[in-house]
Amino acid sequence: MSELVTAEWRKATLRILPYGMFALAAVYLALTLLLIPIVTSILPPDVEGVEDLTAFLANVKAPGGYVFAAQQAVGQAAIFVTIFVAVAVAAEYGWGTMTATFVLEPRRGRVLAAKLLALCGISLAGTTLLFVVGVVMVAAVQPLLPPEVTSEMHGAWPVPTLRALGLGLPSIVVWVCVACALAVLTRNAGAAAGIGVGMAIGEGLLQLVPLLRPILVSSNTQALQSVTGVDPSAGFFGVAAEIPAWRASLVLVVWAVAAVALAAWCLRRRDVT
Amino acid sequence: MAKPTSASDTAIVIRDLRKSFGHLEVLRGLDLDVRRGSITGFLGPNGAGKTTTIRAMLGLVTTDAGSIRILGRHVPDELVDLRGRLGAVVDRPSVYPPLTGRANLRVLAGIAGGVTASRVDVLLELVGLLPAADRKAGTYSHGMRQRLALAAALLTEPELLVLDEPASGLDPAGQRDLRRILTDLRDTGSTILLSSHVLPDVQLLCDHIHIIDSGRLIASGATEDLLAGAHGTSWTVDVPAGSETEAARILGAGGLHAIPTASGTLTVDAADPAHITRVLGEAGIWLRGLSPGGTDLESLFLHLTEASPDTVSRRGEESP
Repeated sequence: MSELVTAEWRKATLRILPYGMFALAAVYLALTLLLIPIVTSILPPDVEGVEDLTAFLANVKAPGGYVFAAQQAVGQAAIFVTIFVAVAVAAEYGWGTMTATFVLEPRRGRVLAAKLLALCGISLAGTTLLFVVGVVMVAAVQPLLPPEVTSEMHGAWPVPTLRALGLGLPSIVVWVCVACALAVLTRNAGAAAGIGVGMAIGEGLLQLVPLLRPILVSSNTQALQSVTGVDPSAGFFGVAAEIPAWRASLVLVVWAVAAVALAAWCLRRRDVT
Repeated sequence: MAKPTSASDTAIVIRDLRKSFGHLEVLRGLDLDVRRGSITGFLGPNGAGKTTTIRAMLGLVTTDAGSIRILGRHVPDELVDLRGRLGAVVDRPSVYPPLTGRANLRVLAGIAGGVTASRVDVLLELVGLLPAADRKAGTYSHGMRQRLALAAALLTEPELLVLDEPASGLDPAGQRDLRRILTDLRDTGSTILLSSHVLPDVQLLCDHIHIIDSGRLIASGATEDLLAGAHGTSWTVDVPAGSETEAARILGAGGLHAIPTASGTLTVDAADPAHITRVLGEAGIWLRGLSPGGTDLESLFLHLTEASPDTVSRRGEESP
């Protein structure tokens, strides 16, 4: 099994795709964190809703801003991970290498497991690097923030920040499983990536619908990341995390299991053409 | 049509294999036996069901009915027992374009398991890709991809090699190398099932030949026996220059199958050569020569497949 995982890891990391995806994600995250203080600072103080803006700015104020960086890193990584995994897996149908793989290793469940392990490893490593970029950017924008902006979190920041990252990483595993299932289902890199990104972005917006919130990956991820008592994302959607941690964990597990089951069913039951 | 043989001397035994894609019946009760240690040609016109049969043998497509035994194991139920014993090039050469040729083989070696790094280099040299081993496979020509796919199929030193159009895209040197590799493999005891449209190569290489059409076996046997059986029915007819087409039409109207050749003669199938002289004589076309046709595999193949009742109705249809 380890040889199989190594082969899948090598296959994915010898391509430019993951590096390109995470480089794009890093640029996107850095710009997001940089633009928050810049855009808000150029707005006139008498603009309507300026109080909300102050609260919004507090998102990047250290030390709570580091938790925000962890949340943003995980949230944005979800989109880029979905593209990376969908393209990496679906491309194999286009190249015909899925056929070569199954001739050499007919146990398709093992092939799927090896793919998921390798892709999860790469995706988690990429998300962690993205988090580092986020922390650096939050530190960099502190001088740009007006003195009246304060962070809600007090005390030592590293522990809650790392907890926010650690509790957000399982959602990356979920997105890897979902993207893999979409790739196996559609066998088309463009379609799989398109549907995956649509899901990742769309379900983030669907958090605004209270009825759907308990079953979404993004809202449950935020709920998990909020167990530190800090919820900087409240400035974005006004969505306070009200889902218990145990239920949020369960929902993420259900998503992952359902995605893996779908991928396994497609791989085992459908003809490889 | 395939005769039962003992399990010990057959590498592949297929019985009554059936497969449909929607309403299209691709395999209609196919029987096939492939002897161990032989190179067996697997021929058929486009859409005859060759690739589907090969995919079914490799467990890549499910079948509707029938049985497949490979090296004594049921497919697909016992396919896992064939891991490492079976190599294949299916349909088109599959490579990872962003990876180098060497990286391609190393990745596939990892998937196969138990393949040493030195084996990768040996195979790159065997297929003539060592100078291009560190180039990305995406920059390879079709022929080079074929060579890489062949090397991948040989990674585990398989007992049985299934090759679907391995000569496609190969230059003459590549085709010669392929012939050498396949005969060397046979000489070391490997069994090879070769599907190809390069019929002169098949005739040269193969000990046995199976010809299928419309999902059924229509001819099968040792290459020499098949060609000998066909000998005597084909005649080379020399007619005055410019009258080949007209002569072919007249012979066709007289119930004889005639094909003009590039050398200005006709190849005519007839049990009795007197029939040819009478039909053409009555039409006022006088022969300049008549000799027994040296039946080659191409003539036999065309004769068998064009005579197949399903061929005309199936023309233009391709299996997925």
